[in-house]
Amino acid sequence: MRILLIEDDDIIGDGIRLGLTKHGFSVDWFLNGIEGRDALFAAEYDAVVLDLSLPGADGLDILQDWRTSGQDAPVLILTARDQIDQRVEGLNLGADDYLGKPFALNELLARLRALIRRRHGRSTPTLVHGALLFNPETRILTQNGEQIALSQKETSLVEIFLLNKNAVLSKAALEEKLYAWGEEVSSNAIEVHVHNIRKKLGSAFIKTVKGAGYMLGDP
Amino acid sequence: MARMVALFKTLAGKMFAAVRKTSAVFCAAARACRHSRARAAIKKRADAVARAWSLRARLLLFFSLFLVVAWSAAILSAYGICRKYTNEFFDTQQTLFAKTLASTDFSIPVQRLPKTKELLKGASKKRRGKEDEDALGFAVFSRNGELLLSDGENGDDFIFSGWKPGFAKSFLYDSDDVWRILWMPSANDEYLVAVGQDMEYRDDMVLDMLYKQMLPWLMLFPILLIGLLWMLSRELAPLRGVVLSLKKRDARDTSLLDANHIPSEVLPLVDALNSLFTRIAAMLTRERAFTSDAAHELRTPLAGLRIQAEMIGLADAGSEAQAHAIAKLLMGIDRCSRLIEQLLLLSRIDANADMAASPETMPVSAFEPAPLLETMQNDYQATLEEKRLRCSISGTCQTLAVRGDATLTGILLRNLLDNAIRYSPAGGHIRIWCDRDRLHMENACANLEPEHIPRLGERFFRPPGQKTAGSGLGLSIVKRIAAMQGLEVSFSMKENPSSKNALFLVAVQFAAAAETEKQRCGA
Repeated sequence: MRILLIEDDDIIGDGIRLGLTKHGFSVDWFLNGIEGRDALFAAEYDAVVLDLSLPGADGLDILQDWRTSGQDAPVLILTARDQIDQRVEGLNLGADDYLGKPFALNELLARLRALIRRRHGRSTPTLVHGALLFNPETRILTQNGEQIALSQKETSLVEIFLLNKNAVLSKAALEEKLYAWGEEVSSNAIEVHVHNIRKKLGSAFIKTVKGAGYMLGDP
Repeated sequence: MARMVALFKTLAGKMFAAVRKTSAVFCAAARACRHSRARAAIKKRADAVARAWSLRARLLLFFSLFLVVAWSAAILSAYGICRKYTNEFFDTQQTLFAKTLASTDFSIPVQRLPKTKELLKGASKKRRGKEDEDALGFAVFSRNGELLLSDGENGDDFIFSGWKPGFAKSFLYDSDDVWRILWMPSANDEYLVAVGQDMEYRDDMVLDMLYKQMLPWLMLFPILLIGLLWMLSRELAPLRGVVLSLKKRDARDTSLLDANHIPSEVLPLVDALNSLFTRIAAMLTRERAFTSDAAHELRTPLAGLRIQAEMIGLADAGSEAQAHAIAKLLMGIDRCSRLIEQLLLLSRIDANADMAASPETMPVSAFEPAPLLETMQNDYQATLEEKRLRCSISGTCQTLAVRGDATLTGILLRNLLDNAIRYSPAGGHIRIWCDRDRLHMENACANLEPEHIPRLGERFFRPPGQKTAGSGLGLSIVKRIAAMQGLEVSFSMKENPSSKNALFLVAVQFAAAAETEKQRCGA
């Protein structure tokens, strides 16, 4: 799950980035509003965390820019203001949720997961594929009731496949979702992850679509 | 003079009767509330009424007083004129009658005149007319005072007091009434004819005429007062409207009063109130913005502290991630404490400013910037070294004059230096110099948009694109102190040709020492 974080306060931004990464998200963090705005046009994100008081550009203006140009990634706004007007305005401009500062990391995680879940049209948190169950919150994967140990990136890759059933995902798209900017990616990283997952979950779990990429196999 | 007194007695009597009637009602009410508490309550109520109605009541009272004075003058003058003409008229009548009598032959002895009724036999009472025995009376005396003939009424009582022709006032036998009697010798000087008239009759006639003349005025007086009351109520209605809208007003309401239909005398008051409301509105907006900004500025570092604390909990003990989070947490705590210190300082200065008099009336104290700047430079030594900053003080800084507390001026300078150190890029040079009554500070800094320069010093305002952490309070503290002490602080930006950074310039204009001396002498 790739998250775009736009937050000008270095302490909060640093905390959110580390906290989300620790919980299986890849995070691109921008301190500057303009750069952050442009980032959403440059890559695909599963959700955006947007601080409203930013130097260079107002958070609400950025949000409006995105929505008027058709960007529909779920946006969670962070605000330290207690005026209801600002929150209402944010929601009216197309924000999907808001969180008042100071906040608990768990609440931010829960809200982000809910936003991503809703975006994929699901209301229950657990992802099911045949005998396979995945809980995005605990990040525990079970098959026939047995827990399966996967690395963090592999877990995230399984999550991406489970979220995008019936869709062919290119290697580039998977890389983009799995890695934040600046993270080192070897050229065969996806192949290595897919290989490891197949070894643990069976080779039918991920199908290779020749010349296009990968997709979730039949349950 | 005695007549005037009598006139006033009569007038006063008539007025007194009227007053007594009305006061009887009040007296009854007063008797009913002998109890001192009830009296106090009534007095309180009366005071309240007097306050609430004072303008109207006073106008009415003064109008009535002026009216009464003007009337009294008019009545006095009318009384004089009436009396003069009445006297003239009756004196003429008496003279004519006396002349007629004086030329009559009294050889036929008739002791008294027959009754009118006997003479006008057969004439109805109406046709006989009305007679007042006091209106006129006469008597004819012989040279030795023997009454030869009289009208049969008051003439019998005329007192003969010698051969003194002409008008004279005298009493009658067995009576207190004063009569005006014309004594006229007959043509042959044998008799003395006396024609008299009761003075009271004349006075009554004058008073009656005056009273009849006053009556319409008296009747019109209440109408006049009611009309005046109505007119005053009508004219004062806009004022009452203003009062009512002020009474109903919420303490936070800062809307302006309606200045339409307000009389020009009251308009300045309404205008002044409106300008006050505008100022209060501005103050409230500022206060609200400050509270909201302060809340925002406090929540942001709190959010940082919280998330970093959570990161410490998530990281493995002793790991690099934990050390990183702890470092960030400490940084956040430092920022938080600085922010709280600044907020407290600002609110202390504000509280001081509310108490303090205007800069012009504050005592002047001496302020020596040089030693203070040296001390501050030492305080910041660690930071200066860390950022490889150079700080130089040049020029001779003379003792400057400062109005009010010189420690505040120190805080001002400290904030300026702190600002310069914070925003100077590493390896920069902070220059401080004085010329006469001006202190300058210059440091390199990131280029600011020209439109943001005038906003520097606004609370919580930070020009966009700042990399250095801050709350936007430092320069606002500078501005606040400057405003309190009557100093002029100006910020400006200068291109620096040798660097990509611009130069930020601060100038503080102090009151010149010489000028202060002059003012002191003047005062």
